[in-house]
Amino acid sequence: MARYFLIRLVSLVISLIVASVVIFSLIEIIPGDPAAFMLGINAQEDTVAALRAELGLDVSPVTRYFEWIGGMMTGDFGTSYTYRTPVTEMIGERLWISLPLALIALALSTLIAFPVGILAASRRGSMTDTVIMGFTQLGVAIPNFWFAMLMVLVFAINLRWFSAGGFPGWDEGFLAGLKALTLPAVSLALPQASILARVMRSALVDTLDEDFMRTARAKGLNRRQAIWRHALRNAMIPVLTIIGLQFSFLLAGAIIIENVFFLPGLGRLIFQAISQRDLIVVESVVMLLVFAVIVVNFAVDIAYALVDPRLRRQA
Amino acid sequence: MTLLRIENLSLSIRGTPILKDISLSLDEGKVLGVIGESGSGKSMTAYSILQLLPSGAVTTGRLSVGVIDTLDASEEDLCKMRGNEVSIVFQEPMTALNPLKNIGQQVAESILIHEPKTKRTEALTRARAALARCELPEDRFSSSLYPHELSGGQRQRVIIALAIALRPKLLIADEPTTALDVTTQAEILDLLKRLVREDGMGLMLISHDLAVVADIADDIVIMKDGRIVECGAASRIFREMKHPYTRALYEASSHVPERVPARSQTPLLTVRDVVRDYRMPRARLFTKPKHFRAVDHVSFDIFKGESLGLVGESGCGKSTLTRAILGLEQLQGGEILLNGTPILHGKKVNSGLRRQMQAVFQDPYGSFNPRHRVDRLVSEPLHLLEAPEWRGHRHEVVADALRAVGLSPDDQFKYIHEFSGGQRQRIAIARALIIQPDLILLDEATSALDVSIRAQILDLLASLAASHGLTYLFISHDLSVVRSITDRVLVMKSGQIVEEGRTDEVFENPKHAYTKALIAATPVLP
Repeated sequence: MARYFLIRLVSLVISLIVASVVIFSLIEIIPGDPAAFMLGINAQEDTVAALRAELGLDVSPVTRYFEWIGGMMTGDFGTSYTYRTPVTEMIGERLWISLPLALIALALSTLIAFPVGILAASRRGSMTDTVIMGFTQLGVAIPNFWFAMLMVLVFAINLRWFSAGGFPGWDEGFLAGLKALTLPAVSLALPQASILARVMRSALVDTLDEDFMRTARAKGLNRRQAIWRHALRNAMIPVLTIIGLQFSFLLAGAIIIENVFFLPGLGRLIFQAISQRDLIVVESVVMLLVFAVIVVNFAVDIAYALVDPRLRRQA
Repeated sequence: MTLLRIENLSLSIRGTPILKDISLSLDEGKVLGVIGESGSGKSMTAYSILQLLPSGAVTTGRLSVGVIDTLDASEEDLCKMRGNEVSIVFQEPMTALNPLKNIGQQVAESILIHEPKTKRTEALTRARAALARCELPEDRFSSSLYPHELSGGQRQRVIIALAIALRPKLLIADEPTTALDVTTQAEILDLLKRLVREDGMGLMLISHDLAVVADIADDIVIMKDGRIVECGAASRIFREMKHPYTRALYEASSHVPERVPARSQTPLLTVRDVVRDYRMPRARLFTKPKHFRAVDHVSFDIFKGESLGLVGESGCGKSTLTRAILGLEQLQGGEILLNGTPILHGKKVNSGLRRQMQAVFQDPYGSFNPRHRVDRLVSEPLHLLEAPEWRGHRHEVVADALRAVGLSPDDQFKYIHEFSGGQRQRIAIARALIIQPDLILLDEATSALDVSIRAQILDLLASLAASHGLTYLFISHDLSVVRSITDRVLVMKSGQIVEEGRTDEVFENPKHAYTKALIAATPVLP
């Protein structure tokens, strides 16, 4: 197990280094000089040069790469070209919305998908199974922004239980913040829960056909005990994979939902930063997201090994 | 006392009749052998006793275990009975255990489920005792081992341990040794015999193998197409053989095809000093990986027209050697020549040689692409021919090959799922025959077949050898089959050939201790 952990950790570090080089190089290749963009088309060349020096763009890319990495290690992501505020602060504010949003959505998705998937699998071929699979099909098909607008219409405009959008900030209290994130989280969770429920069902159905399930029943376990004690853990590997993918997606991919609900999250930040050539912000947010994806993958790998003893002995 | 009584049991699954009017009984301390070929309903009889039937099953008649009438019992009562009063051991030890729980936990679960008040530590202690009774003592086989760390025979012992942990009155063993090597089979059968004697259990031993059952059963039931065709005391059944099916089964089990010796003095295949090493995973991050020698300096010749047997237990390297002959393995030493030409040309197979050699594998179900029609499946090797002489009359060539193996030429327009296991194996042989090879490698080609089908396939192979001038390399773990169809035999163990000689000589007068052990472990018909 220790060796497995070590190997995964080394691969995590290598992935991070490679990712940072790729991101930095891509941003370098993109045409468009941030200084020129900021000063407009009529700017004097020496003014542009002065600004480039001020932004730190006049040194070699290699130096800038190491400055960037070194800065990130100490929590300094540089200063936004557009807003002239520290990127760390900008990201920090947004992260406090995006991260809870993703976590709530993921929790919802898992809480819905597990029981639904297990129910469908244990009653495979029955009416219950057909109905559940029909609903999850629908859940996968409905665009989540449309569902989000529907929810605004019902719960914000008609019933007035929630506000239609915006975020009051966590200073207003935990409950107020949670309330503002509820509708967006539900809209995000719906398609994810549908996908996860289908994966859960099919993984469990495969496991139920295994010989060891017959052994379990022959021991005297009833159907429910056999599923809980023997099938669930065996069905976990594909489910964990999907949960890992979904978390990464929810963290970065919430941009449309953030727009529907006017939430100042990471998705909107990166969208604005790209349109304003605020490359240092783009670079940092992308790196942060990549970091999250790699760490989540690492966590999923460790979870695999915890679930399956056969993986612990392998490299 | 009568432990199990079945009276007029009939079973249908979604309208298809599976069992028809089964009646049998089993007393305490006795062994009942149930013999039948695939589809005879012998496993379904076992599942009926435990009421672990697939959905849509309807049973009629009477079935009682002790005082419990299992056809009328509630699911709750059945759960109390399973594993406690009646236990079952399945055929496939490799997949019958949960891969994520250690063996101690799995045996202890049997105890905990029926005696929920037992402390976990006490259940584990009892589980260790049960494992020790099944010859897996704690000091050599820790109960914290996982199933993947054990061999097939050891896993079967774990399954037996969890079946007998609560000392049930009735143990059902459904083909418990079919997936195992002969020496392991003998050990498992001895273990079952001992447990029956010690605990006074009733044992219902289900098998397709007459010899396995004959050796251990007090009474025997012979099943065919969901019916019992003959039953009675074991000693009497084989002496009298009243029913024609019993006689047919007996004859098929000991069938020896008629063969004409046609061995010449010219070697067709020469294997010289062949070595195949596999790299093992590194034990530590910075140590050099070790190597496992699967084939260790093996040398032999196959002469034209000869049938050579290669026997050995799983893991002895016979499959690796077969793959090497087919050019599918890179060698670390030695060479393999077919008609005097090396099989491998650099890292690639010498293309001219591929057409001189074909293979037939064990699994008649898995070795065909289900989306292709038989004509395409059978004609595939034609692409190995350089001259496209078959173009334009491909269907005729396929028809000839099918006729040679006893199928109808029209069968080429069907799909593979329309054929039975025996027919599929005939199709596999047709596929091998179509380019008229010199050598055919038969890798466990009859192992998955029922005895009567196996006898037919052996006859077919013998007649094809004569009519087509074929040379066979017959690889099998089944000694009786090898004995009936080969001229010469090689015995392989741990990557080496330990004994070699004329088949009858080796079987009658084995020299090497391992060959002796193999032959002694092989069950024989009375």
